[in-house]
Amino acid sequence: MLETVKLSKSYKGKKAVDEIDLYLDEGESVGLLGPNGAGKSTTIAMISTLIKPTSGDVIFQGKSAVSDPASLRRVTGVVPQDIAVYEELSAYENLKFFGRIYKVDKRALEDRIQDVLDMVGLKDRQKDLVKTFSGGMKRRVNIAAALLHNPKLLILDEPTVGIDPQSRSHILEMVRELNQRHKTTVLYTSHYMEEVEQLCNRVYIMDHGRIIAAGTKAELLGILSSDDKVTVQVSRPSEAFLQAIRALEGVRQAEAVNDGIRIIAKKGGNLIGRLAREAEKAGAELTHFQVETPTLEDVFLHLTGRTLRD
Amino acid sequence: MRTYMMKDLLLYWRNRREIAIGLLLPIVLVLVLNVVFSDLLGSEDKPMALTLAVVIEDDGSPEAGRLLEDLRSPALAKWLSVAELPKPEALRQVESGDVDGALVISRGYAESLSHADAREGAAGARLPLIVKGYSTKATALEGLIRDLADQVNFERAIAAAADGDAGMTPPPTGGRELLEGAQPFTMAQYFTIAIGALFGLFIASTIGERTGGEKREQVFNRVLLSNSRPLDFLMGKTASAFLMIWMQFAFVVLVSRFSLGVFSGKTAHFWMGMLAMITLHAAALAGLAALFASITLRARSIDAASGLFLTITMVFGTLGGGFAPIHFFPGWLQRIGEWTPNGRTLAMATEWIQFEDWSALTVSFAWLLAFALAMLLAGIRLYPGRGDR
Repeated sequence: MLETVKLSKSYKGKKAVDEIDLYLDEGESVGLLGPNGAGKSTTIAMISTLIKPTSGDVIFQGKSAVSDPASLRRVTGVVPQDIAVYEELSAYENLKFFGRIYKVDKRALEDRIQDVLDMVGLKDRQKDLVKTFSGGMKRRVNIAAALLHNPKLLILDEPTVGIDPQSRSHILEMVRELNQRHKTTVLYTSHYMEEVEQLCNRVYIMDHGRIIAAGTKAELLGILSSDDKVTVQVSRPSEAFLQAIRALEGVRQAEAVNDGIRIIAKKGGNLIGRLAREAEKAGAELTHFQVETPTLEDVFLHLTGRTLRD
Repeated sequence: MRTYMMKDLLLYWRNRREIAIGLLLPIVLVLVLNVVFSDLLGSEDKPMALTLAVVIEDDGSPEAGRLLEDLRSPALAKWLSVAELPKPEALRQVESGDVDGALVISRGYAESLSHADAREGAAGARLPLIVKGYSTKATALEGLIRDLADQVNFERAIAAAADGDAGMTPPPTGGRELLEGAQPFTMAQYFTIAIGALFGLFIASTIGERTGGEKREQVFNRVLLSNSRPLDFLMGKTASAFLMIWMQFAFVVLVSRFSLGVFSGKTAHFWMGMLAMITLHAAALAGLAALFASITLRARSIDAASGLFLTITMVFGTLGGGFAPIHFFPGWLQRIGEWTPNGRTLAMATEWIQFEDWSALTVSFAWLLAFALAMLLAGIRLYPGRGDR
C-alpha cells in the first residue's frame, strides 16, 4: 500500500531522518518505535505529506506521494501528537468543522459525526466544550477528527501520551477494532512498548534518524534469543560492582535500573554463581535475582543503549 | 472559506469577555478622552496663536474692508495674525499648514449682505472659511469669523432701519452663520472615529495572535492535511476579520450616536457616507489581519510575531491619532499619520463630517482599497502551503 524509499529530511545540514525504507501492506498495523529525537515525528510528517522530504520518496499505491500528495491525503487520517482541536468549540462543533474541511458529504456528515463520537465514547458529551474535557477525552476527540472521512490509512503519533489508563485502554481498543474489523491500515508510534506489542504486526525501531531494526515481534525478540535477562539486587550497590559485572564473560549489557541491576547475558555459564562471587568481592551480597526471557523493551535497550522514554 | 469564517466567528463569539471589552472599552475611552481633552484645551493659560489668510474677491466694498479691519483690530492682534493673499497662495499655505485657515471674502459679499435680512442673520453672505481639517484652531477661527460677520450684518441692519427701509424687523439677537460647506467637527466625533478605527487595529492584531494559537496547537497542520485548499484558511480569516472590525466600528458609532448624542441630527446621506467609510476601513484592516496571520504562520517565534503586531498597532494607533488628537502633532507627523489606515479613515471622516462631499472622499476610498489589496496580496504571498518547512 505504501512504502518509503531512502526518505531523508535535513534541517540546516543536520539529518533528522536518514534514508529510511519502510513499507506498510494493506490492513497491516505497523509500529514505529524510538526514543525522543529519533526522527519518528518527522518521518510521519513526510509520510502524511505535511512536509516535503529533502530526498527520497513516499510511494503510495505505486505513485509518488511527493509529486502527487492529494491522492494519499484523501485516504489518510493523521492523529498528531498534540491535541489539534479547538478547545473553545464543543466536540460536535469540532467534528463538524473538520468534517467539512475534509469534504465529507453534507448529507452523510451528521451520521458520520455520530458514528465517530460513538466509536470514541463521547456521544453523551458531544455538546460540551473541549476545554472542559479531561486529557484522555481530548485525545479521543483528536482521534475522532482524523476518522471522519473514513481513512484507509490511519497514522497515529503517540496518541496516548499523558492520559489516564481508562482512556488509554479505550484508545487501544478502538485502534485495534479499526485495524481488525474495518481493515484500516495503521502506522502507530509510541513510547509505550506494550502498546506496540499489543497492536502491531510489525515494528520498526528508529534511532538517530535511522531504522536500526525491523520485523515482527518474534523476529525482533530473536535478536536476543540466545540471551537471558537477569535482574539482581544487592545489599550494597556500588559502581565498582556494576563495572565488575560488565567485565564478566558473556555479559552483553548491565544497567542500573530502579529495581536493581538489569543484565543481558548469554544463556548458561552459571551467571548467578559468578555474580554472587563478584558481590562478595565488592563487600555485598545478592539479596534477590530473577531470570526472564528478554522483551522488546530489552531488544530496544540492546539496540539503542537507551530506554524508550529516555 | 465560509466554513473557516464561521469557525472564526464562533470562536470569537465564545470569548464573551473579549467581546465585552472590545465593544465597551471604546465607548468608555470615547467618553474619557473627550472629557480629558476638552478640559485640557479649555484650561490653556497661553492665548492661542492663530494665523489666517484672507482672500478678497469682493473688490473694494466697504463691508469687505470693514471685515478686514475688524480682523486686524488691536484687540485681536495679540493672538490673530492676518495676511491678505491671492487665493492660490492662500490655499497652498492652508495645505502646507503655514496658516490655520483661509477666509475668502467672495465676490458679491456686500450684495449678499444686502439680501440677507435680519431674520436670516448673515446666512446669505458668501464667506467660506477653508481649513485643512479638524483642529481646535479651525474651530476657534470659525467662531471668530462668525461673530465678526454677525457684527457687520447687525450694523448694516441698523443702518437700513435708520434709512427707513420698509419691512425691516429688529436686528437679530443671536443666531448662527453657516460658513459655506463647513459643519462643526466636535471632539466627541473625533474620538468616536479615532477610537473605533483604533480598535479595528486591535482586532487585526488579535487575529494574528490567534492564528499563532492554531499553529502552536497543530490545528493548522490538520487543516493542511485535510486536502482542502490551504488558502481557504486565510480567506476565512480575512472575511471574519472584516465582519468583526465592521461590526465593532459600527457599534462604537451607533452607541455614540444614541447614547452620547454624537452625530445627532445627521441625515441619511451622512450615514451612507459613514457606512461606506466603515466598510472600507474594515476592508483595509481585514487585509492587514490576513498579513498578520501569514506572518504568524511563517514566523519561527509566535511571541516575536505577536510583539511585531503590537508594535505596528501602537505605531499606527499613535500616528493615526487614536491616542491623542492628531492636531497636537507637527504637520509632518500629521501627514505621515494619513498613511496609516486608521489615520486615513480619520482624515476621511473629518472631511465627510464637515462637508459631506463624496468627491472629497474618492482619494481616501481608493487609498484604503489599495491598502486592503496590497496587504491581502502580501498575506497570500507569505502564506505557507503544505510542505513549506
